Amino acid sequence: MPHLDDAYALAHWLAGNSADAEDIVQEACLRALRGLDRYAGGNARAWLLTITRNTAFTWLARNRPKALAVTEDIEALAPADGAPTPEVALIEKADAAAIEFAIGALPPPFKETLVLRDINGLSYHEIADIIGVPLGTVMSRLARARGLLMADLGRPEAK
Amino acid sequence: MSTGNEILLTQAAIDGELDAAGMLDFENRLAGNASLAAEYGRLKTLREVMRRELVKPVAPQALRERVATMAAPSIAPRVARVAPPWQAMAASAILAAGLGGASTWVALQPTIQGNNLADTLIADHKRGLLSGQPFDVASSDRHTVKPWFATRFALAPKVVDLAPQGFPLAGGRIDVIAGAPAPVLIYRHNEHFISLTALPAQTASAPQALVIEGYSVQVWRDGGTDYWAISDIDPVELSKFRQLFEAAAKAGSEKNG
Repeated sequence: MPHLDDAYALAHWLAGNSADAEDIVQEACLRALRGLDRYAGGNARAWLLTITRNTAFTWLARNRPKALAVTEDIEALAPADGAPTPEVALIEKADAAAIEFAIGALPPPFKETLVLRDINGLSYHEIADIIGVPLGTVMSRLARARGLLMADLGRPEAK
Repeated sequence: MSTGNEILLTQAAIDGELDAAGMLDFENRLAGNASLAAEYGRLKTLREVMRRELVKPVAPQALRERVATMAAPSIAPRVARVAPPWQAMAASAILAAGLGGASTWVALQPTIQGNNLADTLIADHKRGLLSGQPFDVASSDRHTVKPWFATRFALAPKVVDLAPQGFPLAGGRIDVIAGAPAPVLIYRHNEHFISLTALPAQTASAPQALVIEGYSVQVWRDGGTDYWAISDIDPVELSKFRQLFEAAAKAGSEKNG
């Protein structure tokens, strides 16, 4: 199956662990195989990632409903007033564990956008197609995701 | 402080999403705006740190093999009928090795199409059971399942509750039949599942009852929709299911006017 690593990487980040990611990818591949004749050519990677993304959220809603619980209207979520400006030097020093933890803590819509961009390396247009939102939403979610990451990793009192 | 738009522009610059003119304009802004430059620096650092620290997860070998086996049986037996076994093996090997990008997908399409409809539905029923998750939406409440389908299909299938009669609703899923997505209702009977697929009525009248490879198949028509019930339960039981479903669907439409 081509692009299996991409599908797995996305599922891994969305699920937060490898066992769930394997289940999700397996189910997504099953759906992909079943829906092969719906595939109209073009970007096979984006196609598989769309299926993986949708499968992941269905799977998580069914098996890990807490992982998807979002209490606030995240699009309206504003950065806290008076929060210290993140420090470049601190961001620079962040290690893998800290970054993974910070990404894991992002609300799912921000997380998936960030992962598709920075881990899977997709363009804004591809991400907009996969998630099914306008380009502007992709951009603002990405900005919010990175803003939260920087605030987390570059928080002066964190060290 | 940078405005929201400037932050989006900075992101786009970092992500290489600006064209040459946009980039030039951005660099001019950057030169005259210290806070924007600071934000740009932070974003660049974040990106570098992520690249340095994060390793893209790689699919484990076991998963790779499971997916390859999943892909192989769907093509190998059909190829084997008309071609020497080595061709079937070659076809599976291509999938297993994950060679080729889009071309592999395209090459597979003809083998999936052109099936006998009943065979396809039975295969989907079996696959649903084998995956351990025969449904995409799990609910015994038809008021959950019906809207779930309604958001995905122009014409949602009739969803009736047959729990009192011994056929509780288990959920719903979407299969792809002859290139088009089709709603499938899953009912439970004792420890067995019944897949009930709703398809646009075919011109030729379909057979009413079949037994294929030990699976019972019941087909009936309701207006412009053909209902295909597939299960490994006894044909008599499935026929009873069909009668109950038809009666409940009829009662439901009369109630709704």
